[in-house]
Amino acid sequence: MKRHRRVVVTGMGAVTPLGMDVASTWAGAVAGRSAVRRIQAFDASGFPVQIAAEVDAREIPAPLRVAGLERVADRKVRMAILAAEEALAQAGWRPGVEMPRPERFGVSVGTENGRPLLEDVAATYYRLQAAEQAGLATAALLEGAHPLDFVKTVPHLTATVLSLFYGAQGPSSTCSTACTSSAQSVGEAALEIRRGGADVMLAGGTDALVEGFMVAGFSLLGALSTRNDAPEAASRPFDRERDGFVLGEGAGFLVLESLEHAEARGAEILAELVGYGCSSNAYRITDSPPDGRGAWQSMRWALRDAGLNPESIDYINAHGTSTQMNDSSETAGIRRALGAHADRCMVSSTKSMMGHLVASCGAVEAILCVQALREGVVPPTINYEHPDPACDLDYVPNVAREAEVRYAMSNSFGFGGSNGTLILGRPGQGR
Amino acid sequence: MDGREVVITGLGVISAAGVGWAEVAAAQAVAPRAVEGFDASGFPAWAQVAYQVPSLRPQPYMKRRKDLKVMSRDAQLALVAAGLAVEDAGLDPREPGAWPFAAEDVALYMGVGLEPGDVTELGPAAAAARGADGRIDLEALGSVGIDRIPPLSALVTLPNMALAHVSINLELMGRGEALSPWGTAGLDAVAAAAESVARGQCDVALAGAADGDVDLSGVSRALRLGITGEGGAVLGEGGAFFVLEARQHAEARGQRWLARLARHVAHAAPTRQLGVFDAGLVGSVAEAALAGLAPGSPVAVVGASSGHPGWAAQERAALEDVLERRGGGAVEQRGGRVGWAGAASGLLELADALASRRASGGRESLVGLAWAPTGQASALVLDRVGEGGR
Repeated sequence: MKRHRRVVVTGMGAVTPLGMDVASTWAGAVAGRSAVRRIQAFDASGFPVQIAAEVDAREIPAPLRVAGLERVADRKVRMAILAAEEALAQAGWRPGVEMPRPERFGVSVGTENGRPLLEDVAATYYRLQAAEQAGLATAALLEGAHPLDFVKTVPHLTATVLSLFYGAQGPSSTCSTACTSSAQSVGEAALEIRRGGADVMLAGGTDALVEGFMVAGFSLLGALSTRNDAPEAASRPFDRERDGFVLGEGAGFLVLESLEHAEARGAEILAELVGYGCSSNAYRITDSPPDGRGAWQSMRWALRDAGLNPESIDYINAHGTSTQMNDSSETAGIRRALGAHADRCMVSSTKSMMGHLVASCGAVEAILCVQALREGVVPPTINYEHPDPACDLDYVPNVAREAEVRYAMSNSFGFGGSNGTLILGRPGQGR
Repeated sequence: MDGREVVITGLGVISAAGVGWAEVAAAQAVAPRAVEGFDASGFPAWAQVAYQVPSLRPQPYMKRRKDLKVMSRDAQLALVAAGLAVEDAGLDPREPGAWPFAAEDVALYMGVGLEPGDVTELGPAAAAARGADGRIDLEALGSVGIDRIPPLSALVTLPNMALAHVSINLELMGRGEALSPWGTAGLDAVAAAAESVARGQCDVALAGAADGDVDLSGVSRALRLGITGEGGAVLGEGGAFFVLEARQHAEARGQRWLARLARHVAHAAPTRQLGVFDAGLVGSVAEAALAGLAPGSPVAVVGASSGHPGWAAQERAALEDVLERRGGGAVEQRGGRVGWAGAASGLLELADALASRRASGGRESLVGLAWAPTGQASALVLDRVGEGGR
């Protein structure tokens, strides 16, 4: 088969519950620090779930480079901007001074719908009730709402804002596959570069779901941990006593470039994105298949795409949500994908520390994989106390481990059965 | 597209014009009708009509009919359109093991729209938790109102749920992606699937989009953005799916094909003026798309103005200018048959045009256009229309 252009990572940026940049996020992950706390964003005292992993800033200090967008730049857009700024700076791009050729520069974002605040939805509902009593009915929906309030619900808004800020006129894409969204947005961006549609892509994801409706909604699904009295111990992937995931929030962006483009401009190459795979479970809306077939399929495609055998993978940043079902299903999938090598491969879940960032987890966890490649350290799975017979891999329990990592795999699996896997390698390795 | 030739072997479409390509092609005139599903009487008269699908029945394609209660309108439209496409490709999605290939080798790419949740769904919980100051009391919501929120409501608002329902009911385990760039989502999903087939990542892909936004929130959103309104577009809904195959694969199983996917072009024109139709941008993607066709060959460019009279006039002028420079070709604007259907908009109009060619035996190339109010446009070129058999 024709060999495609190689894709490398030249910049990374992150805003997570562990820190406002990649360095502090990485330091927190290596230290095994939990960022799970009682919810600060709203009064959750009446909710069955009162804990989350929130970004430690009520106002996100993102530079708004274009006037007039204050209204549409909500929390998730602002987190995306902040992460994108860091990524572009590391890659050596300076907005307004030196940027990629606009038509060869694209943006790919993984995110969900923006949702109106529960308070706003309720206010609208109360207006509707009052209007109905006055015989005005649905016209009440139009009162008090600004046109741009509706734009905030459009998933593509983040990509639009980033394109506008940085003058990207190439491919502009958004993936919305729940928890798989940003793994797919990064994977699709790499494919775009491979096939020649762009030289540089700003790729990543953002999500901010710590608000009343989503906390209530995921509580009703029974998906969230209810360890309200011990927040820091709540996210415990692969531990036998795990009882659900902890909702998080954040953003992660990578600058991807073709190898030739990066070399031509003398950019520092942080890693190579060598493989991408995705699949559907075709099983159930809320459940993972016990045999991990979709996860296996996604990892298998990524290995095939990378041209690697399972033994090349030294570390897997697992999806590892801390739900009973995901963690055993993923373990089964890893065993099937890696065969005997599964017993020798290090597997950890950084969600044990920063919670589940939903649409942005794939990009942030890919960044942590790059850090593991570069630093020779694998972040741990904290709160791992009770081995589970259904989860029997090396989960790097509780303490980070120094280790040579040649290739790292990042798994992301979403509600509804969407799966995505990225494989990253140290630069300059032959395959 | 580099790599293997990719052809369309199945067409599934559902819109106000009908269910299935033959019914859609036979519909001479399609007019918006009074909105169904919610009380629109409080809106201005021009917002009380829409291009809605009159009879939506996904049950024949469902494995478990009780799942209907957790399927959004988008998901139902998607399942019907996808099922029709699979049937049209000579397969029976209702039979276990319908795919004569491994399920993990069939990809699913879908353009999806907004699922922000409906105010009426959360209303009862909000009502139960209204505080003394007239605003919602979140503490009360957690302790009292939460039981009135439908248990699966958070899931239903995830945009990829339509993808999930289609993959589960049609047993598709291959590559699966939900793209959400709004108005261009459908064309972009088909293009991504075609790339996947062309590059040998799969032999068969089901690709398309569906959107069903004719509800209280959708009407309000469209009105606010200026898409609909006095003299504007009329809201629509529908779904369109293609079965894509490597040409060699289709011919090896004796399957006729409808057209070849020749080219995809996508441009972004970042703008602060969200919601303003950019005829220049649409014209530029059309020009780039046409550059791949033989000069003077017959072609019809299917517009993206969604039946909005003002946009349609600007678009026609821009496209006629492009076609004049090229040396010929026709402009078709089919938005007046389907309305503004969000993520499915451009693809629905292209599917409408392809259904028409199939019924009439027309063989000119088709350039389908799509545009999103967030400032991006796409074009998809179908050539060799009607050459692959029937």
